Amino acid sequence: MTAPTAAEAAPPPAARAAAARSPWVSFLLRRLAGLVAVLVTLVVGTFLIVQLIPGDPARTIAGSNATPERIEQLRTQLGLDQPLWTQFTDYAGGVLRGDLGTSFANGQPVTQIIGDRLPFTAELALIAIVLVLLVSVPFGMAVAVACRGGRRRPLDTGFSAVTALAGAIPEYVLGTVLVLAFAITFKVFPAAGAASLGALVLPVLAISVGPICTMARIVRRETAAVLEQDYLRTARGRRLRAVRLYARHALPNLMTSTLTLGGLILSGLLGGTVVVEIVFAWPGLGTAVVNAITSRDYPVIQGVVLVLGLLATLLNLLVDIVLGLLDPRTLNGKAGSA
Amino acid sequence: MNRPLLTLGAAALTAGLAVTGCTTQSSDSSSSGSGGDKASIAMASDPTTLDPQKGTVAADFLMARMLYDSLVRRDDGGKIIAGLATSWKASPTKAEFTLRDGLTCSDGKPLTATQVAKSISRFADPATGAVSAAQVFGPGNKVTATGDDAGRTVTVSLATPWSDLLMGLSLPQAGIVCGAALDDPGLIKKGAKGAGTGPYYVSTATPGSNYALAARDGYAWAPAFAKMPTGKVPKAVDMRVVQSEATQANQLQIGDLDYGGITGADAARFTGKPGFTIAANPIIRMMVVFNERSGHPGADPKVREAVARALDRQAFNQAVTRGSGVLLTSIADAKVPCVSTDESLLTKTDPAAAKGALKGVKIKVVGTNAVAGGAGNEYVQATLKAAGANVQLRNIDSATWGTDVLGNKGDWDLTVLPNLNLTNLLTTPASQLAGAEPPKGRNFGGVQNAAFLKGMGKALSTTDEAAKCGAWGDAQKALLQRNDVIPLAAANVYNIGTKRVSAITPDGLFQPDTIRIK
Repeated sequence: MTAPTAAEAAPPPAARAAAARSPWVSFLLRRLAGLVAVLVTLVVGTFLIVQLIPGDPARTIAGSNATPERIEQLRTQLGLDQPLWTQFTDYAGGVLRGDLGTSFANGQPVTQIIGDRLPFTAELALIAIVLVLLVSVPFGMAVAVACRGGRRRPLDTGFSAVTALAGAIPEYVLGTVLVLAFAITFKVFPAAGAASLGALVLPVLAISVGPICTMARIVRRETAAVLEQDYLRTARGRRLRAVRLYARHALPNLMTSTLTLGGLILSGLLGGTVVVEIVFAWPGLGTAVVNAITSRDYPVIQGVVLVLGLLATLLNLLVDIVLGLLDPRTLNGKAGSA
Repeated sequence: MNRPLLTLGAAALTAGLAVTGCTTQSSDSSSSGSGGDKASIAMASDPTTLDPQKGTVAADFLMARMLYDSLVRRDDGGKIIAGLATSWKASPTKAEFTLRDGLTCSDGKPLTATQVAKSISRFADPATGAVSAAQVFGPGNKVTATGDDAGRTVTVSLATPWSDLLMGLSLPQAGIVCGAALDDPGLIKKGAKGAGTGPYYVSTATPGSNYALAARDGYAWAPAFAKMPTGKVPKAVDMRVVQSEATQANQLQIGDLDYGGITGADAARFTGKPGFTIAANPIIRMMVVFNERSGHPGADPKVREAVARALDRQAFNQAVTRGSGVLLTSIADAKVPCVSTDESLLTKTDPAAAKGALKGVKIKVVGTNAVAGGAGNEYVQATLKAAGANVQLRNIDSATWGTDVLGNKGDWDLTVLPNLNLTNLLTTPASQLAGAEPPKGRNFGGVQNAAFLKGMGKALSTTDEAAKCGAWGDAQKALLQRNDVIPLAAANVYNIGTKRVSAITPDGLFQPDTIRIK
């Protein structure tokens, strides 16, 4: 048996390059397959879920004064007299063509309804998540640094108590209190509507306070752990300036948990600001889907849930890509801390 | 490692602000609050359509009133006043109208009698899918509408008598659509200039937020109600979608909204408060209706009577409206023409007498939670239980209730019917107790009451007011004496305006086109 030559042992340059890229290639392939699976699940799931909701859409939309003839006419127009399988193939075929159907209630294309409403929801959610990150990360880090090594116990206890309490306030209670204080009593901001930038302030605050508290608590805990790492002790020993020390050496190590949680919060905000939308008469997707459920408007329920589900999936993918850029070990599912 | 973080943050912020700019721009132009020559009115939901003839919910009717005029209007006491028509003659099978001179559509083009007739024909045509057509012309009636442009007259003829025709043509659903819109339905869909005959057209619409209306030129035929509000006609009206009554109340309180409609506890915030006008209108009429089909307890007249004896209208009113509603004496309240106000026709409350007849009777109460969360259903359940009945309650959402009870697809014995009667006609609740049963008809309780049907038929065959009311009186007496219906109470809709504006609710129905800036 002869030893392999250098040329035989070493892979060719192209293969080496592929191997170097392989974590990303396999990561993206895995996630793409996951995306397709999620899409299929969403299409089937949303179709089946609406069928399980009791109540006849034709009767609901026609109203209590409708004649039986009108109800039957509407049922035919809406395709509800077709076999379930035919309804599903029509729906799935439409989704593949980018056509989410038309609203049973008002005849508008569902894509138009989503197009009208999504910017309002996205506006609230994106501004809120930026606020959450801008407030909670420095806040959590500052408390962790101040309380490092068991110092300033009262501050730590106060931080825990305040964030637990404020984080537990339901959005609708907070929203109502904010309106009472800042719209009705002091008349600083509008009570509701989406007419001006000022109208954003109260709803953004109402949906941000809870996530700020949650995120700040996570950041505080993660920072405390990072501060005990050897490399940070070494960095401190080199007497680096505090801003450089914490921003450059501590912050990147908080990113995995912060971004992961941030992605989840943003997904939740995109789909779950219903109550706040109602309190502030905000014309977002949340109220659209709740009204669609009430009126048994199947295409709108299906379309909105589908789009929100896809958005959440894409958002998670985006977060994972960012985490992969920050720490390539996460591409293989390995922990990225420290 | 900081760079990706900064990039991400900047991207999120930019995206947020970009979207902010986008949505702000779309709504800024149309809903920048009240003030000047602009008024704002709240709607509890988006309109489902801007086509007046296809309207089914309150927001549809509000928008229809702003965009389309009807031939006639209805004032207090059911009095018919001029709309697009200045004079009229009506019989149970025919109505003739003479149009005003100088009528134009919102694009300035003349409105002819032929166009009016075409609009009415479209309304009556089953292919249009106008739910209210049955209320206006009678279910399945053959309708012929003709227009004489030279004489400016319009004639509407019915194959079978329907004495509600004139009243029906005063409804917002009977708004006259202009010729251009009949040729181009896109105009109706948008409520655009040229679609309607009313005082406004839609300038911009932001679904879920607001519909900005602009006053049209050349509108000089506003209806003259007896108690017409004073002030200037607004040059623009912002029809705001405000789903939460608490939010409406907040906006009214701080002057961000001029006019709203509240049914719940938030109305109390304005009671006796200076600077606000409140008009209480009992529109949500609630009554018990039985499933009278064989095998159900409601088939037994003694059980129906015992239930009527057990229930107390005042206690029900307290449970549902905290006592602020109006006690009913029939299937509608006293504002509705020809309604019976004779309390002696009602079965007297006598819980002791009810106990014997209801002991051990199994009753499935199925009610909607749309009014006060279903507090009325819970009251009925508790009262019948106290009378010894074995009661099961399903307090469900309106859509499920509509299918299970109104469509008779569920298992139910008794329901509290909340009749949202925006026509203020006796025919609206009565038609749910007459005729074929679902799926062929609307008689969801399977009520078989020959005397009631006879009286109703007679009432719909005459336009003589005395004869009509006499016949309706007989019909209601027959219903109440058999306890086919147990009238309970009507919840008020409180129409609340700020001191900036005034508007009226003739015959208990808010007319948004009467809003004026003081």
